[in-house]
Amino acid sequence: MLVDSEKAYGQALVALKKRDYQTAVAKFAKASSDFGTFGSNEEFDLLYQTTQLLLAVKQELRLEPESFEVVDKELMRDG
Amino acid sequence: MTERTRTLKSLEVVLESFLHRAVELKGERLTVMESINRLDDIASKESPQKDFSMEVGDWFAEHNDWLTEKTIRPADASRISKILGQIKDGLETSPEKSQETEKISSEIERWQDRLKTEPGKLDSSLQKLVLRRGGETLAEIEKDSILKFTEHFESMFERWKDVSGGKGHILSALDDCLKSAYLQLNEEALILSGFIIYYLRLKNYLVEPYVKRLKAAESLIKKAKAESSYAG
Repeated sequence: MLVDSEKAYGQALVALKKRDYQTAVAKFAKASSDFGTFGSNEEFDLLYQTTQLLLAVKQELRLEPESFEVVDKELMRDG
Repeated sequence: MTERTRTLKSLEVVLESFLHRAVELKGERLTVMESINRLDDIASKESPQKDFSMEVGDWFAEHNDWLTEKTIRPADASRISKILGQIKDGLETSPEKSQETEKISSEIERWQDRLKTEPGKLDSSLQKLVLRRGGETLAEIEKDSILKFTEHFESMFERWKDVSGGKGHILSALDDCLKSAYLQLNEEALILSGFIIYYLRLKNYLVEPYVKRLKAAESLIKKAKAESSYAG
């Protein structure tokens, strides 16, 4: 059978493809438990950290009072 | 919209775009990984059910071209061979023998032989993720106008694939594209947005709200360009 971390890495990439970032981070976290395989893998680190950063940005945006959509609505209403 | 929100939105677009492109670069490799994971799932079943042989058979049928085409890397071939070995062990120790399980066993042997004896046919190239950034020149030499437009067109097509990937409707892709134009002041995204809007207009979509956003983005980009040339 495949090593769990290898499998989790593959699942993380599939989740990224589907833009399911929460699942991707969970799978990356599982994969990262095996440092023997991924500890020095720059690509893994880059994708993992970028996904974490993206989720953090999304979380910040949720807390923002304004959003781009509000501007859209105003533009549509006011012409 | 505050400057902070705009910056966050811009960062969100950049990060999503980066991740999407990074995964897209994986291409066929990602499909191979998914397939190996699926084979591993089949092999992991504690007590194979009656459709077990069918599942393995389907997997073989689906990936038969791997034995003849340059698709998989030697490391993946080794993984597959190992998983197949475990499936074969399971079949041999199972008390239930049938024609189907024997057929699967012999197919496994055939796969293991091919994976072992034809490593030259397997793709040994390492598909490393390479982050490219276009070169910057102060005064670009004027190129042939058709060639220049072709380059833009190809680049826009790549952008289109990027923004439309995973979307359910062309309007969602247009929305992303307009965001890139507005928040990142990206001229290429602006041109692509205009192109999509014109297409939608010809198809009788209600495009006015998008035209307003296009104009807003265009005005921002023009302003940024003017400021940049003034500063320069």
